Amino acid sequence: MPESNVIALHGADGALAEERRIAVAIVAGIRKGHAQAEGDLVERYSRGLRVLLIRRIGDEERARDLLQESLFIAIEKLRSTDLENPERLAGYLRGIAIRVAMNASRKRKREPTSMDISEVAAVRDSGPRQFEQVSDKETAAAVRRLLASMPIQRDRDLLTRYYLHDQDKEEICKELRLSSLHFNRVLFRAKARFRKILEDEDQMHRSSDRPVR
Amino acid sequence: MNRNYINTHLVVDRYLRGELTEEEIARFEERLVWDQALMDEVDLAQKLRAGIRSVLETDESAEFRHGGMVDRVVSLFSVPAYAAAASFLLAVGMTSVLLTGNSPTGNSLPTAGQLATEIVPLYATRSTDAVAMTVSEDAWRVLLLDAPAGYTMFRASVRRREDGDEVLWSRDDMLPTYLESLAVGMPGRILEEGAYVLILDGKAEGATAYTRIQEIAFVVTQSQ
Repeated sequence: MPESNVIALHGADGALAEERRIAVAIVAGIRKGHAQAEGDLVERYSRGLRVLLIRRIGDEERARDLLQESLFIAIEKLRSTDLENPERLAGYLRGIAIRVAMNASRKRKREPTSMDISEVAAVRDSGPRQFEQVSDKETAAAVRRLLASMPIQRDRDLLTRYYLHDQDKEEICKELRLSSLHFNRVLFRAKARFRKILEDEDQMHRSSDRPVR
Repeated sequence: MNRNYINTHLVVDRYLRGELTEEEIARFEERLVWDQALMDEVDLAQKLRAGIRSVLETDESAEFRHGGMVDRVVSLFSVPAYAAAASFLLAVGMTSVLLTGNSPTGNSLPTAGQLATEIVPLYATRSTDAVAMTVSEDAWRVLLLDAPAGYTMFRASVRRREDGDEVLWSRDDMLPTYLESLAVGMPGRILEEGAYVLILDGKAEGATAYTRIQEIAFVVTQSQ
């Protein structure tokens, strides 16, 4: 990786500093036997771990099982051993999840894991997901609205090539005579517009779900 | 991995496309594990990707509203039966979506939501028979045809068959889009009932002048 990228990868950022502070507190709490800290760990890291497990396993249901197993292993370890770099808890958890996923791939039929940690057993899902009330059909409708709202054919072409045909960015830029920056800008704006459409859709669902007083 | 790097290097999309290096994956996932906003971005990108694929690959409805034209264009040209059997595909529709680049003035386009979109795929052949199409009366039509290989730029002209060389509509400097297809938009009033011919010219790589590629005859009848 080029040096400039390495610098960017490790660049300072406030959210990361906050994460490290929280991670240290969670690790210390679990080591001291605080159930609340275990709950915090499950709440904070479940969703992200599940995303990367799904990415590796390709099966949402199975990923949920593996997430529980990963959290179980992590909490057991953190209860009994000191973590060398507690501020790197996220990396530690990722490592466990990857190993669990790899093992699961090796032996497809696994013994059921005995869970005696209430916080882990309570993990039914990875936490609230964005636009979870928006159906696939509504997502498709949102895509149509997005495409219809893009006045420049080249921009719509960009989305089609990138997301449907999986063309490389460089190839698209060359064929559509776009700069890399322009490409990023079109994608960024399209996503922002798509997010807004989905948010409106999601909001409509939430409003209609609200109980009548 | 900080957010600036993630944004400027399109890391979320490249992650979903499997284009990151091992080092980048590790750094990205270490952040993904705790960064809720990043998880939201991954969710959004997945939804956008899946939505575009769903819309463009599977929409089989014969008629759809404004905005659907883009979907149908790709759907049609994705069907092997069409691609293999026809020497070109010709479709007619009304929409403002594809027309922005096709208007000679650029200021007379219908606004979003004004028009229903209708698209009628017609299969032309290499025979001398004209392609028949029925279009309902509306403001704009889009003719879709495939772009023959070997050309980098195209020009399409439409004229009535019985009116000699008078060109009713012409579109210059067209680039093929959507799976090597060309979209020629024009005001609907041009395509009244009658017999027409669409003349397709092309510029080969490095050429400065157009050469004739083909003439496509078609007949328009108004729908009831």
